[in-house]
Amino acid sequence: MRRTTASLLFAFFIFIGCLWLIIESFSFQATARYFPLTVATLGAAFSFLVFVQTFMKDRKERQETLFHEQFGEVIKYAGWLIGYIVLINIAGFIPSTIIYMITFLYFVTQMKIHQVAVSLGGTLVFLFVLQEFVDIEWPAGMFF
Amino acid sequence: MLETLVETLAIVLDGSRLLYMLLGISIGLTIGLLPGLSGTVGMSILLPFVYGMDPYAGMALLIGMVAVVHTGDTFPSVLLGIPGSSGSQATIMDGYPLAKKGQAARALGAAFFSSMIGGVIGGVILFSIIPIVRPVILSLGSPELFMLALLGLSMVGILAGKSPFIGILAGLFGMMLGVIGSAPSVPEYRYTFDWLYLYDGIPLPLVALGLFAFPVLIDLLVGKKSISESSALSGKWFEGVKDTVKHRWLVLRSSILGAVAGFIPGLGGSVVDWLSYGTAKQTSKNNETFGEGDIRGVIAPESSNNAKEGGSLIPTLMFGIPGSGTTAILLGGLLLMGVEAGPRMVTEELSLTMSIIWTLVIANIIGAAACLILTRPISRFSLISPSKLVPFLTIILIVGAYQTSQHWGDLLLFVLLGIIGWIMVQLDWPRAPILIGFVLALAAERYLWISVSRFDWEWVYRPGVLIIAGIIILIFGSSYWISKIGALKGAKAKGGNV
Repeated sequence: MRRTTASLLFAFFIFIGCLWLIIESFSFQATARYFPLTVATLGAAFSFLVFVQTFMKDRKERQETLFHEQFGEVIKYAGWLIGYIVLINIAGFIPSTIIYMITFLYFVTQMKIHQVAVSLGGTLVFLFVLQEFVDIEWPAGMFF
Repeated sequence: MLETLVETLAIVLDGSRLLYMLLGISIGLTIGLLPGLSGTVGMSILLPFVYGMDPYAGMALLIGMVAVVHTGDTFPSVLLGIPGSSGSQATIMDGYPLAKKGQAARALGAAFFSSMIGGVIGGVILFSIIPIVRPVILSLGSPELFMLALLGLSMVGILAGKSPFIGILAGLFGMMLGVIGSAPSVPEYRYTFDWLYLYDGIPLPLVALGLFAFPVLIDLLVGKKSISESSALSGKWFEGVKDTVKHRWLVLRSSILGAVAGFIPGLGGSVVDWLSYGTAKQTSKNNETFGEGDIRGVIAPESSNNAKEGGSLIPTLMFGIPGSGTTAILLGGLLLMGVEAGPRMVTEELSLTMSIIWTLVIANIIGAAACLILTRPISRFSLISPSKLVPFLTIILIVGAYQTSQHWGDLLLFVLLGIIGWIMVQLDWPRAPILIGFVLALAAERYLWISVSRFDWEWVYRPGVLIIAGIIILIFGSSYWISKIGALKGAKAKGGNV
């Protein structure tokens, strides 16, 4: 996809979002409505302006720059991140972190097993210290 | 007053109180280093420990922590392009490009030295303004505060983007995110989809983490190169110190701006660095290098965000009006130690106020010195291969994102906002105005509602409102003019017909 096409789609997406926010704002009480209604109306107007401005500019001088040259790679690495979060939801934070670290460092970073073990050990010690002294909570999973 | 100031120094330098201050500084620097953990989180963590404590020791701990958060948060801003806290967003604009050019140490040196000077100036301003500030603060009504919120939005919204329309649109998008949750004027929840998590609104650290951290994680891995584009960190931190000395008037100007903006309740620390960055860009000669690794773009926000702490303590201590979440918790801390903020802070509790000023000054010096010493080892982070760095960074960010409200929604929104942030990076849309719009949305709505309720629409004729409106128009006009001039220069450089 061309970058300009993506820009047009993004502006259009914001425009539609603002229209929905305008409609939704009519379900609020009058005092709670005026501010989001004003902001959403301005948002719709400016997203329309940006859309038209981008469209006119593209007609004048067509740019062939791609939205992203390595989009497949982006999906792959975003998948790692989202997969880690999904795993936390299932197995809990610490078990998921262990699995994520081992698989990522071994398959993506291509570390040797002993290097993976040292990195994992260091990370777990850091997390332990954080939990003990800073008193923070880990995201809980369905099973742990 | 000077006599009390000198006497209080002995109290502050007492062994156990000094230890508490050092503990606060260590915690503040660590919190600043970790993206997503802000001064507010640090305050919340320390608050249970100050209960019943000697107020001087308790304040040494709390102020020691909060004074250096904006010193420590420079590391992630410069090295990773991720704001360590909401007050270090503008530092990314030039700090990160400098790191990419292999001048991370120089950028950090300038940032720490200007932070230290800014922090000291903030303390001095807090001291000198005590006798005169009361009538000024009391003269600001809700209409002026609303206009100040608009001033903050207009300034950063326009200056952060190449195209003014896209900058404004991003700011409006941020404001829409900001209105999610309960309305300030009536008991009504807006755009919550009946999801309990959204009833309190979206937490600011989450918006910052999602928009800035997620895209960095992905782009680091896809680019398969270290954060620094050169093989060696050619910059030296001492060069940064020399840069700061060279631009001393910018440091002074930004510090004063930071302290003044910090003392306006509701304007908040997240805006100060952008105000300072924008002003520096507007008023500097040869400003076309801003955003591409100009050291002045690091010095200006770093001077102001540390100076802001001194300014923000003025309404907090003098009138009990917290200007931010951090100072709101500080008020709670004072109460836990049996001290009530208000005019008493300049009468019966004057020595405590003076101890706070001393702590602010000393903590800034110690914090900056510690960071300068650690600059070289920590700068080496920027040469690590991303595939080694990203897994650890991911874990820290997930933990940081989850701490904002300890709800699964934090992680979901982190990803959602992250995707939006990544798309904006690819399309070259500015992300910073979203944060500014988000921060100012609630304050702007509240002050507008109070203004209309109290004065109907008569408030628009108030002199303060008209003056601020004039400044806003001036900023819009000059920004438009500057962008036009820039476009003309660009067209001439390309040899096109103008």
